[in-house]
Amino acid sequence: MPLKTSPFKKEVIKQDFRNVGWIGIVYLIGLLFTLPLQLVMDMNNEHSREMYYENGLFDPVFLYGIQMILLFVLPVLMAIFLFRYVHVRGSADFIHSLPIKRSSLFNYHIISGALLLILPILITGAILFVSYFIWDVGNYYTLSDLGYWASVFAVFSLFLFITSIFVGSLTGLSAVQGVLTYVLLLFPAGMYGLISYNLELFVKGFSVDKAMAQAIEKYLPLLDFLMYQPRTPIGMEVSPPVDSTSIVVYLGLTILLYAASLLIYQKRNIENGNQAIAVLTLRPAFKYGATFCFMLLGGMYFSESQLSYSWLFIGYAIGAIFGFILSDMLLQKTWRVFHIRKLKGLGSYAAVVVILILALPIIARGYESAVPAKDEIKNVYMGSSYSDYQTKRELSAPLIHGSDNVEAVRRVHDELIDAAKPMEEGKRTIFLAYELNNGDKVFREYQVNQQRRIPYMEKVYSSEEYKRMTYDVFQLAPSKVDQLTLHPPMSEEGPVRITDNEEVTRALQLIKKDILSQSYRKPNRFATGLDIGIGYENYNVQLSTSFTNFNQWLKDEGLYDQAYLQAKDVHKIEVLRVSSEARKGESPFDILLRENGLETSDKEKIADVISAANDVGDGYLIGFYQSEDEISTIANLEAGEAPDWITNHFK
Amino acid sequence: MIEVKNITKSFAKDLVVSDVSFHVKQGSIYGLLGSNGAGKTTLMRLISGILKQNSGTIHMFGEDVFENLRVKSRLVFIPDSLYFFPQYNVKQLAKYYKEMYPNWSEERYEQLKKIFNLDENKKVHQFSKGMQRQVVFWLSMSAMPDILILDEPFDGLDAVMRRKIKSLIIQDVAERAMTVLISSHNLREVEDICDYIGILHEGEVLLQRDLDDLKTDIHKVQVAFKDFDIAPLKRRLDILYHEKRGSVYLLIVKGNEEEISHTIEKYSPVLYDRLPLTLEEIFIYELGGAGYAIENITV
Repeated sequence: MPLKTSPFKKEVIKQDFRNVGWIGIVYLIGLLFTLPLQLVMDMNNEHSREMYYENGLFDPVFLYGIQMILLFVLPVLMAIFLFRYVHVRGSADFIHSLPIKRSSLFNYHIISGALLLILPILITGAILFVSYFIWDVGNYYTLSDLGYWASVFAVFSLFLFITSIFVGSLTGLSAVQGVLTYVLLLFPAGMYGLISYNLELFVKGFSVDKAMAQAIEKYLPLLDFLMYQPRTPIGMEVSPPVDSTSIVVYLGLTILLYAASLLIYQKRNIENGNQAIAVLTLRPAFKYGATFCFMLLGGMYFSESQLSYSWLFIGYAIGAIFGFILSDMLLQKTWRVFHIRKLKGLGSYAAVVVILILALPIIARGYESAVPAKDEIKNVYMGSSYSDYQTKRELSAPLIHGSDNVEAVRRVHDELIDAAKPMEEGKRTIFLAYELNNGDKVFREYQVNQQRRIPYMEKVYSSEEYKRMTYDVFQLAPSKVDQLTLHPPMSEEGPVRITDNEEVTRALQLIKKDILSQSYRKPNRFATGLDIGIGYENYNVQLSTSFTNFNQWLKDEGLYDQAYLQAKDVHKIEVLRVSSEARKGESPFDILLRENGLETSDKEKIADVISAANDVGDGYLIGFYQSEDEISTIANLEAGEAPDWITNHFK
Repeated sequence: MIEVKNITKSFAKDLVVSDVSFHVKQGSIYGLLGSNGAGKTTLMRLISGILKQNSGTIHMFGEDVFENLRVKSRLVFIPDSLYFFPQYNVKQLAKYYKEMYPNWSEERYEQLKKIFNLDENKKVHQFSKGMQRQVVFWLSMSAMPDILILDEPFDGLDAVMRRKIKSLIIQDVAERAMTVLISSHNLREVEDICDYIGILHEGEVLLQRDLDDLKTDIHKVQVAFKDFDIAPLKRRLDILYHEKRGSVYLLIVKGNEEEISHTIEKYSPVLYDRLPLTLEEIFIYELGGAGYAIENITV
């Protein structure tokens, strides 16, 4: 029997345009408002001609924020409204009784949606293209900026649209479709981050910092847009919000998601139209997935606030029960889901989790005890965090590579494996990054008590390699430095600025000399701070009163008094004996206000304390008052470093 | 024409249609009766190719219906709750139907416009419920379907319109041998146009009958004898039901009318009358113990 129907059903497209055309119109109006209209308005501004816009069409002058809202919201709305017919019984029955295959129906809707999203971008692009030749807009954008803008908008509109269609093909409720679309975009990074956080509590050495940084870089689609800061200062190199590889990757993802949605839609049972999860086989996955997420989230919340394993497990229990009930409510579409028989599901889930937690240390044993062999190691970083490690890589700082020093780091590592306690007050983080000869990298992160002495640690700290790696000053070319700023915590005269290039060069030379000649000692970061300014970047150097060469130079230049905190600037100090464990996370400021400690306004004693005090430390808390009852700054004093008059007072 | 074999359908864990088989001949009107929740609508959605059965086959013109354009382009389904595209008027909808259904007849459309006398430029949502149902019949009949599936079609229609639509259906059945499947929860509503009846109860077909056979097959008689009771008759006739009112017996008898008369007259009754029998009674007697299923659909 031949089919007499025309192969192309324009009425279906027409119906889509009647149905969701308004979204296309809103998109067009939005884009016209943010781009051509802003262009015309800004061009009428007298000063505009002098400005040079570095970010092309993603510049704040073109309302970057509103562009992003349009880009993130409208394609999802489009998908929701286009797919609504599947979610509503009446329309689903009507349309699926018509003689048209589901696949063609789906494709017609995708074509309509894509057209309605792309057309506004093309129209806006065309207007900007014509404007480029009519007016002199070279200082706003170039043709390649325009091409880039249009392709970014086109690809990401389609990506978001298809992502939401994909979610729509799984769910049966429009609201759930909207929410789940955004959840899905966050899901890979969120899940990766949550699992990493919880793993860190069970697996010694696992670095959540590094995992989080990676999660955000690799597993968060569209993060590039949210993190993008278009307000880059003039003169700096501008990178666009997404690079061309990402555009291709997203385009590929779009095609994959399209194929998956088409497949699911064809297999989907129409009768499940109004269910939260319309593909029945996915319901348990959704339910236990949600339970798992909430469990991890609960554990994270309670362990972070209470710092104990028992609270971690209570958090797991609360989170899991909450997630289980919540997802069940969503699936059943009622809040009355409390049945004894539900305990069976929750019980088996709990059993699996308990087994997992018990098995984890066994599985992770190899990971925990692994220290790379000495001859495998090319070089190694030891410091405070993954982000610090990355900074060092960016500055191409030389890592620790001398054989003795590498061995010392390995010994520290060995020691840390035993000493590490992830949940403790007053801990400090030690991050290790080995770069191996075969190109692999090994990352470990340990939390240890401040007080704990680690053998070989001092050997590493006092090595020249460590110093050259840790102090950014070794990586900065003095000729490029714009200024040095010394800012004591409280000063009436304000910070000291050194801008003369010869002076800067001399000062840096002396600082380097001082750093290298120092033995391992905690730097006194309190009495002053030094910022090395290059352009808009600032590099901080931890100065110490024991930097004899540099300090002598400051004195010679007559800057010393202004550069360091002086006893004469302080009205009085208050000393409290509080160990970090006793603080229980309370802010030192609150403790000082509440408690009455030892007070003195003796300038000599104040000077003693200034030279011994530090940013971090355990033992005494010092409040510096600039008037009788105004605390201006707070410092810590290590118990062992306190002057006798303090030790005696608190005996 | 419509060949339904052993189909089963469940929603999640609920079995809604269980091993249903029936056959609708070309050019006949099949009434699918059942109380609310019997599975009628689900069965109709399955036959219309909206849902896919878990097992069993649904064949029309010898082919499967699901995702089969050759079948679906000759089939129109009118659901119980109607759906129209928002903001569409009749004319725009007609264009949509025209594109979808290859057998669409413009001539028929114009002809029906006169019969229904509705404004084709008015938005369908502005019509009353009954008028909307007329719009759907107007569009569906213009699509010239070979198979028409109607779920509770006469709801919301007044008596005049009901008659008009019934006659339209009958006309197409007579002229083009259109096949019709009608579901209803009310036997009286459809007994005048159906020639076949199937009763669906809790997802299963309880019985199906050709109405013409049924009416010639079962008879209601009143008899009275001077000397004896009906014991000898019981042995010779297939009596489905009997009751005694005074000395008069009321009998429901299955069989050929002539043979029944012949047998009864042999016993020289003092009274012998044949009474009219409604379809409702037939079902109740026929189903016997399962009659409870009927009570709901005959009110």
